[in-house]
Amino acid sequence: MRSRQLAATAAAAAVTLLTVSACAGGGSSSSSTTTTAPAASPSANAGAITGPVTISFDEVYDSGTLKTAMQSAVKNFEAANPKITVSLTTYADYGALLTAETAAVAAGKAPTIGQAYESWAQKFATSKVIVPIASLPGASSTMSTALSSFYTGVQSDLKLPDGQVWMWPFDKSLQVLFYNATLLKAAGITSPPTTWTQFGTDLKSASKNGVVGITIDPGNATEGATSGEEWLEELAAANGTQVYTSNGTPQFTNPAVESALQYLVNLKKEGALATGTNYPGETALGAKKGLVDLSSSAGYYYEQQSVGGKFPLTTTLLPAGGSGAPDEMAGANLVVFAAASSQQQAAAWKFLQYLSGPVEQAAWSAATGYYPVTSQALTEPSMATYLKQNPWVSSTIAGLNSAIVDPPYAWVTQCGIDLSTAMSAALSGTSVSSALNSAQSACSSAQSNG
Amino acid sequence: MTADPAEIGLNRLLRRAGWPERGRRLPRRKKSLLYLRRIVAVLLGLGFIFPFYWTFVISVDRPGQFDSFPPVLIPQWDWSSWARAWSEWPWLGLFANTALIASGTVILCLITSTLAGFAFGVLRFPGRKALMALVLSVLMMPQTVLIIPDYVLASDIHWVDTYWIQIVPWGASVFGIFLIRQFFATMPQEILDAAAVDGAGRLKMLWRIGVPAVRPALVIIAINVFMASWNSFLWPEVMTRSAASGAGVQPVEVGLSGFASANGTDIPGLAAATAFTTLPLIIVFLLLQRQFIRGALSAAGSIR
Repeated sequence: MRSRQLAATAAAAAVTLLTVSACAGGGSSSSSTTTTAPAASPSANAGAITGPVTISFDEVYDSGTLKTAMQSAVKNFEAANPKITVSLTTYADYGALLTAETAAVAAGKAPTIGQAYESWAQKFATSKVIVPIASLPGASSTMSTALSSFYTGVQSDLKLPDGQVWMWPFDKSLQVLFYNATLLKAAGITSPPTTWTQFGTDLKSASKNGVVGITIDPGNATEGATSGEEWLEELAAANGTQVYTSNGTPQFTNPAVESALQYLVNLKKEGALATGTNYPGETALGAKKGLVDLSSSAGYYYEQQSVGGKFPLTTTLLPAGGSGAPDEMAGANLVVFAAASSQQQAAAWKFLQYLSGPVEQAAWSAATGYYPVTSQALTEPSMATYLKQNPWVSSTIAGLNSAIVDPPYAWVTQCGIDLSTAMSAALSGTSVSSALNSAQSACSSAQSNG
Repeated sequence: MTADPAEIGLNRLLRRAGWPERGRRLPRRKKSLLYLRRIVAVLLGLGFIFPFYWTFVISVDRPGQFDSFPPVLIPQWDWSSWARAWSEWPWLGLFANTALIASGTVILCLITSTLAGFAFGVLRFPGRKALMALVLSVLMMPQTVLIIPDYVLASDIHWVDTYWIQIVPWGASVFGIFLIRQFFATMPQEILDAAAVDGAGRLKMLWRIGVPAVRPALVIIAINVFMASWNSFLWPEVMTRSAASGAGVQPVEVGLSGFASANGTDIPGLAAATAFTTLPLIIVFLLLQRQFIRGALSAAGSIR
């Protein structure tokens, strides 16, 4: 999330450049402006690979298990599709990726496939530099079956406001709670709370002897929005109102949002919540100074690394509020760039199907900790051992069906920073209503500016 | 026998730092002050060394120890993070790339800074001040703003993913030009006039008189440019491509960034990689520190 927000500055610059480059043709040599019509007419041979073809894939899987798992996926795919070669280009983070993708598009050297968040995809689609998935050769006949196999929250995340599927899923995660089981027991809490009210009570009772219930990073104008800001969004949704309407209009001054922020402020006042930067919850948990950390399920590896066997870790989904237990889904999607040739687009569709299929999803999930995007992966043999070792995955993955995501508009990235700023201000003593009013005003301006 | 100018400069420095001349005893009060100064200096030194020491300690911590409270400050000699970090990237290749890029950039910068600084500081030509202002104005342009147009340009000349794109655009330093110009601007005109009378051309004047005179500035420029090039991240990240195997043309910083992801940071792995990529530099500096100081002070006995 932080990387995503760090991309905000580059994103703002990118909008203009992308528009200009798209108007100028963007250097694309083939089907560069096709947005709705399929690149190849449906026929028996649609999507067939007639000769050797290389597709490039810009991504951020540049280290650890992510890197090796992606290399393994490519190797297996190439073995199964000998005419297709996949060339990986990795970037350190999403900020660098967005800059590179934007620059490559402007230079007429866009990759075939790239990772993209929803708001990026919206910009790319508006600038006509990516194509709808249904327009890929061979996709029109097979896309709907593949699409229906995904968790429902994942399915809706792939569409842009025009209703078309412009993105394809690969790795998804939800926010989960990592508890120090020993501290839970010491505080007399027999099982993790299932409601936010109980959660607050438990945090307060555990906050003693140098232990603070939870430590979060609310983010700020410099750092951008973080998991702390996502928590605020989830609390507001659990209170019955999401912070944005479906068309991206902010609702920061809604009573549900105010109540959510007041909940956090009260926890801070009671000494049950602390703030920090650079994954402070993980640090506090690992130092046995925090009862629980709120983080991405894909961050399980890092939580374990921090805990290092010092105590048992209990992982649960978020508690519920009056309107259920909405959880914000994270993880970028994949898009196919318009500059790719018809053969490259056909190969890209095969690769997307492979990456999102049950076999690869099971392998990827077991290796990286991301949730599989399809429930079919859960029954794959390669997933069995992983699920046995990590039972929390089975008990939390259904959250992908009801997951919430921010609407795919460019200004939403900036609005997340505005909300982070409001959160930091309120936790530092500014009144909740005043902080949210400022954020509402700033976000409305961003929306007006597009 | 003539004393070495560098030696003279070093001795002056030591005197200023409170060291007594050989064979001389200090009064008690001065002695106490000297010890106090030394203690403060040692504490300051430890303050500078501590971050690296702690990084090293984290890199050899046992699993889960790096987040302990109170922090573990004694090395536990568990090398598993080193082994994991070493296997992540082709570090030798990345290190060689960084050394090549940083050295190339330093050499280019020294040449361009000396030539441009000499021209702006010594030569008299119409528009000199306006041109200098134009050069200085480059400082006001943030690199991030230009990176996308720069990429397009690099792509057009086929320099993306090459050493050239990491060296040539950084081969002129505005700071360096300004610094050298200031040195030359304060140089007595009579010296250059005398050289001209002796028949020296401009290049000979620059090489025989100018370069020795600005040697301290050149050392400062070299250190600054080397550090900037060594720490450069966004530019090589965008302008180069990492290969599935092998280092390609990417530098160490890009490899180090791989330990941070959107979901967390592999702190022990990053600490280990930071330690083994920084260690060679520290060793080189320690071995050559006398030369660095001599280089910076050598102008004490030459033309100023």
